[in-house]
Amino acid sequence: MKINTVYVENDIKNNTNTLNILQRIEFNEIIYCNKHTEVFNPKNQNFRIQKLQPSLILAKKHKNFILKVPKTFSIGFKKNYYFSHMLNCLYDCSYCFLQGMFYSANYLIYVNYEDFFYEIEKHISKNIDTCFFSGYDCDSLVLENVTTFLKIFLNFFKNLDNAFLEIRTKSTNIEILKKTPPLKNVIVAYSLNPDSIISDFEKKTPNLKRRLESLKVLQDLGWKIGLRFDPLIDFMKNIKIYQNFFRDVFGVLNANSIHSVTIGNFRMPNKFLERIINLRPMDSLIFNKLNRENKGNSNKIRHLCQRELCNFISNKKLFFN
Amino acid sequence: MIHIIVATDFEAKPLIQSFDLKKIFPSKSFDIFSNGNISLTVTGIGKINAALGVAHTFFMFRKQYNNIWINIGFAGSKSFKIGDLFLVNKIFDKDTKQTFFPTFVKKYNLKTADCTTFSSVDKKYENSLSDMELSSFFYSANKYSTKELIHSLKIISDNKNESMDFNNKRMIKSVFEKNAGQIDYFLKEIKKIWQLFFKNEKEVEKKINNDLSRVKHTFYEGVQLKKILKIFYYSKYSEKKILNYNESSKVNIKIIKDLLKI
Repeated sequence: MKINTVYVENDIKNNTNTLNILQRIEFNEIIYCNKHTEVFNPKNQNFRIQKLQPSLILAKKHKNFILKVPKTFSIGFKKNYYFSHMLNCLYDCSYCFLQGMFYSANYLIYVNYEDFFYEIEKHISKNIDTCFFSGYDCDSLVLENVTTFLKIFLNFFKNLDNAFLEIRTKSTNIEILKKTPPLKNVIVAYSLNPDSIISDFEKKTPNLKRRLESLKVLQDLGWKIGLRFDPLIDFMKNIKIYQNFFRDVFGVLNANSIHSVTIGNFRMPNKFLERIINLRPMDSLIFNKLNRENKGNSNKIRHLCQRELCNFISNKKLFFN
Repeated sequence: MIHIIVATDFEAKPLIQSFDLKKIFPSKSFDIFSNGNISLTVTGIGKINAALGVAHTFFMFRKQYNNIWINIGFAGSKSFKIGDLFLVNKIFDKDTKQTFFPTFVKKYNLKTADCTTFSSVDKKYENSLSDMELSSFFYSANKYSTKELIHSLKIISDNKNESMDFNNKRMIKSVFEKNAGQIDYFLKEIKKIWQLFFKNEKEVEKKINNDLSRVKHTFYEGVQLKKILKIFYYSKYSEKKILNYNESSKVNIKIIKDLLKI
């Protein structure tokens, strides 16, 4: 991977993970900083311009390692948290909320993985299964060759009881999962959409065929897999496309051994939406429409999706987030 | 537009000649030069002057956000050769201890260095370049533009062993001439980024301002109209003549909303 500028916090410049990451990438220059927030947080930087060539920031996370997911969000576990070892993504999905949430598109990696472990352990209960979601502020797999995040976290999770890890991804970079014996407490969950939606909205991501091939390989190897039909884009208008798409997906995968399927509408806090529309004015019409239509049709879409998906999978495995 | 900010006349002169700039806006505060595409403001030495110069330039050039802002000027260095040019990649304010990071979205074929801004002349020559304006230039320009379009090019004027003679106009000219190609290259590269992201936006802004000047509106209606006109001008309907200037803004807002189905 080629990066123009790497920013490294002074505190972690000799951290083993930092040094390893720097060895795995090609870069033009390193600039040291006291806090990553000096680079990442200032206002008046442009997410879209930075997407031309994001810099890499290596930093130490100090607090808020583990966060609660929204109450309605679930894939069947009673306790649910998410965490992010990285902020921002190699992909360029036009609907991505990160561009409304952050001012910077630079890749920020927190190198102190061991502190995440400590915090995860603190959130595990003895008698209740707890799920930890990864890949909501980044893609969990696509930068594995640089971060070795999964290699390290799989090794950590394999020894945990009552703790589950969901890895959310669109990436087909599954080498680490092929090399590792499947773990019963890890769910590899792919975000899926029809190819026409992928080419219009999910720039730089693998197409549906490649994502399904990866899912199939992982399923055959014995990994628990999850399907995330999220976000549905203009479902009411594209209903035929989605019907064919569901048929294609379940034509490739074995529905009986799928851990869970979730469905999610295009949803965006108004503050983020305003920012995204400012950044991508050419997409403002479609985002305005999506936001308005989904708000009005949410129950109808849910009902139609449920009806379609129950042809393939048990209602118990279906979650609407 | 590119706004060049320099501290002194002797830094300004070679650039005025190179870009064929003419003095405009007779002003007691700052000398400002322009050729329509590039402006150059001579701010005077020091942080307060630099900040005021940036603000003055912004208001003089019709308060255009997201233009390109470049500080070009001399800097001291411990060991770099006199006349060498650097693109600044980190700025430290010695007084406030604040650090600023210009953002690079591509690799430029220029040498880079960090720069410390002092309130008074510093001859200690630490590892960083030293100047007297950059931190406040960057801070104030960032009020009016995005970080990716704000940069500083520094030419070494003095180091531990020697110093340029600022009275020697021929020498100053030759130092700038030596770096003219690199300065020109950098400005062109930054302009490409501006064109990619803001050229169209400026044109849409012009159209919206023209529409707003021709339709009577209250403050609130103006905000609403601006918002939906922006969606309209970025939509596939943008070539349509949609506004009826004889109608009220309420009617016009409804016409656009009906067309866009929003």
